[in-house]
Amino acid sequence: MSNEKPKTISSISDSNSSSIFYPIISIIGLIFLWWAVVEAFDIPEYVLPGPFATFHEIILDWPELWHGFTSTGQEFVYGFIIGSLVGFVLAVIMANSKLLNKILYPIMIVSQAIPVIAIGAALVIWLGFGLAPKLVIIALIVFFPVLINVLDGLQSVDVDMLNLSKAMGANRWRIFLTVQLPATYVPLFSALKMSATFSVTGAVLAEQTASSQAGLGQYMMAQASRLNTKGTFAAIILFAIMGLLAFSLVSVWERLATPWKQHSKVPFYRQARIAHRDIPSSQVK
Amino acid sequence: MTEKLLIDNVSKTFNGKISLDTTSLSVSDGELITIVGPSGCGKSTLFNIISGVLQPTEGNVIINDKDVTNVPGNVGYMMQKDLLLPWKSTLENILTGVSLTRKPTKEDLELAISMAQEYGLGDYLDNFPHSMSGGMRQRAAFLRTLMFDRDVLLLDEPFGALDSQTRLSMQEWLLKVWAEQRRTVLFVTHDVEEAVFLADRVVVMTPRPGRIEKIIDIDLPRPRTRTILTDQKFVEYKRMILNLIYGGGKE
Repeated sequence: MSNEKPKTISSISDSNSSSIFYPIISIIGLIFLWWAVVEAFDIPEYVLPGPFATFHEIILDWPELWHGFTSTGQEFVYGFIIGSLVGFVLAVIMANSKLLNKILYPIMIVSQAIPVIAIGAALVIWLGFGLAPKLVIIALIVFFPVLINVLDGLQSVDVDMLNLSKAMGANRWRIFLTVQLPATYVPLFSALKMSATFSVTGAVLAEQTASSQAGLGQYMMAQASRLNTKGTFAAIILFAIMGLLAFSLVSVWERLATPWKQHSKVPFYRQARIAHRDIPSSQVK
Repeated sequence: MTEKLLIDNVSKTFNGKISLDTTSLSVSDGELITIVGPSGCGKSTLFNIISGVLQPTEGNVIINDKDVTNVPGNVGYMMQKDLLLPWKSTLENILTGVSLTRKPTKEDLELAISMAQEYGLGDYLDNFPHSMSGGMRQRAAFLRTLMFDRDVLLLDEPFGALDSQTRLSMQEWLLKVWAEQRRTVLFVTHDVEEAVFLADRVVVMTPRPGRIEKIIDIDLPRPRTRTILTDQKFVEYKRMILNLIYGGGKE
């Protein structure tokens, strides 16, 4: 703390370029393991197809799989956005009102305790088989981690900082924008990364309970009912890709939104443009 | 000298317990006052009242002949914690003093940059707080207070968390900035040496109930450097204040 020499954490940012390398290696390793297990134990294709058989199936049935991927992807993205927004807004409301916090918190817990499948059945009755019930199911899964984490972030703001802002004559809105809102970014992105993967599960669940159209979850169930293991695995692979893709996108966004976590200086577009002056900055010690 | 700040018979009672007994203090323009005393002597209560975030039970706070009792936003405030926002650069943090109440102008930006360069933060303008040392962070916090641009500054143990070498260089730094910027400063500290080194006058406070025990004029030449720390007169002041706080030679 009191060491006068500034520490740098360039070593962390230096590793950015290779950060994609290890995940790729581990995915390839996983696929290799899958292949090796199938080969070594001579597992028949209808029990567990190997990676090559599965990828072959993906190529063969590509148009239908792609159609399923996009329509599930659409549900996934909308549900994710709606759930995150709802969670975030609820967190802000609950952080600003002790009364509402006390009233809403148990309801939030209950919303998570009831199995989503059960809610799904009711949603189908209310909302039919369209997009709406699916979005609600995904949003229900997504909003909770966002709510809890953002609430944590808002409540972790130093009381002294709030008092200091008040002493400087700032109004509540200013304090919220300047001091409280940015404090939610780090926990928010932790939640979004979790939610990004949960939403895939949410999408499958949603399609199982409330789908009539062609989604990837629907496709998977159809293949499974025909005992087409290859087709089932083709869908599983695409789900995995969807989850990885979502997670990576959120991670990239996180890096852009929270630069202070990796870097010692602000990004170039925020850096001071210094009109050159005669006084060297190191003159005063 | 003209009167800048008047604490007029201010007192504070919490749940029937007197936290700050009736206190009066008149501070001249450009004066540097330090306040020493053990914990519980009402220093923080007094500061919260002056800054307008706490309503006194009785009495008034007057700045520039204006009654500002219970009105925040009239003084600059700095604490032991630097309270820099981790997502902002040094420059952005310095400007927070402005941006909490209005949109910073180009002049604000230029002033902030030149102050930072002038007072040893020129190399850290774009740094996030986590990449800076404690001393540098406190400088940034102090410049933020200066940029807030009020005549009266309340500094609540700003160097309390620093190691002693860093603290000494920060004290000298503060004296330099104060001499150039000519603000009225109230500085709370636990450290008697720091109190004497910085002050025009030292206010000694005692607890139960919190009140001003004595106000001592420090008649030492300025500008002061660390050589004064061993000066006969300096040591004499120190002894006098220690006696006031701990009682003279009763052990």
